[in-house]
Amino acid sequence: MVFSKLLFIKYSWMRFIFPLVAFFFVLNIGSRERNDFLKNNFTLKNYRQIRLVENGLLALPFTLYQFFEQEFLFGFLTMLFAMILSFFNTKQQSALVLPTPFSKNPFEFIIGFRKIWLVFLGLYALTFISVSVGNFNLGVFALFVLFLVCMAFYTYLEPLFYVWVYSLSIPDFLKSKTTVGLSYSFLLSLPVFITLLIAFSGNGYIVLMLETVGLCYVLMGLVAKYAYYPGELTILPGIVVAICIFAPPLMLVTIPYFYFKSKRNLLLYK
Amino acid sequence: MIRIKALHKSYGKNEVLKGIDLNFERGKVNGIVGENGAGKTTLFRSFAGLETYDGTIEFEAGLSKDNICFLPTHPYMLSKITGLEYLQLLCNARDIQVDQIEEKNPFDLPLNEFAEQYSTGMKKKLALTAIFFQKNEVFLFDEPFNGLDLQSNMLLKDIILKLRNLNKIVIVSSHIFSALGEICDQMHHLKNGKIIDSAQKADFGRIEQNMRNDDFRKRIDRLDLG
Repeated sequence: MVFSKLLFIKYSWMRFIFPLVAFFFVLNIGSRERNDFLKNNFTLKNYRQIRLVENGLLALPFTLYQFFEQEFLFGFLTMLFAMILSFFNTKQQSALVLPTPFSKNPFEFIIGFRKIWLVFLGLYALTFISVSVGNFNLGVFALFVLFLVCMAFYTYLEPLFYVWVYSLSIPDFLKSKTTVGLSYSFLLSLPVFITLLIAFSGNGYIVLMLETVGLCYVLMGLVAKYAYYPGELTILPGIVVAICIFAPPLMLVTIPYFYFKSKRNLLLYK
Repeated sequence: MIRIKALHKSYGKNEVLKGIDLNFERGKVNGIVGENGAGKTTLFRSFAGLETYDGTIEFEAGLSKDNICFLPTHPYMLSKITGLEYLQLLCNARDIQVDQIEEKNPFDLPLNEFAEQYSTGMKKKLALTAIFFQKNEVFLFDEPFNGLDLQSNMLLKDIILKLRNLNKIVIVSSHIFSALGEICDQMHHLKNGKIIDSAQKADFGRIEQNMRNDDFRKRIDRLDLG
């Protein structure tokens, strides 16, 4: 409540954000699968009531708070749209197949890129802006974020079958994953990397260093994932990875550590 | 030849497989029948190496886990991957080069659509197609007929018979007896984690009778259908 108040005081556009957050929650329970289940198991009248009550309850705190802020119109519209949305299902996953250069080795990068291609578009745009306004730091930020995104592709844990199915030995499996990961990360970073090298040639050594460090981030993400697979990265190694992001030289220790741990860990599954 | 000896598998205190002994020969189709929860999937997953277990599985010379393909009951499809990319991924995994994948599409699947959005039967057909591309020696099919349409069922049966003629080792599980009766050379009845009967083709009727004798009528009466 206090936090919301502060947000409303500080940012006038919060009145637009509150309804959007409410709709996010409402849309989240609007999947066809879930609502077909309800429809199958309740009478039509009860089904309608359930969905109206669900959506109403989700929107209520947002509406009440907006009334409290005397944003009556936005509060009323939040509730009205939540009620209307109870008559519709959330759109299913898009069937549009985005072509990518990763189809020779389809996995982490093809999935990740198709899920968040807009982020890459944004980062490329940011690089363009950094050049046009002559702000090198902005370009560096774009390249840094790009590698963090590529590294995050390795937070997805595939079912055991997709590790088991490889006929490669464990070192070869990790080598193959590394080759693909590094080459595809390099490919994605290439537009930013080349642009920064050309536009800020005086700082070329920084760009080169960041590119190398970025590729190491990706490698660390990969080996850290398989060191704890099929479980998720626990708190302690998660903190270690986070520290390495801000203190890259530590990767000289952590990458070999995670690599050898991956080799031992994967013995159980291959 | 593959020999399974004294295979045990437990999840905590729940012992799912209680000492399985089985032999699988080349050029034979082996059926594993049993009701839901009998342990068929656990047996297959242990066999494939997806589960740890007690006991031994001996492979003949030249065979290993890398020659095994496994069709799970519900093949999991990664999101945002097309059918074609799924096939590419599974061929890459076994270092198999397949040219013109789209032309060798036995079930006429829409390979350029997302596999995750396929129907249950289509997902199974895609997983089967990948398995056939992998050129394995041992085929583990866990409930392969579930969800398939009639034509695909017939096609799959013919493919399995062809694999037998190619001297492969084929092991198929199902809780539908009739589906296995047509294609199997040997059948094993798994119940409560134990093989309680094994029969050659001529004696399949005995296993079917055993399954039917399982107080069916009492169960129907208990439903009180009116």
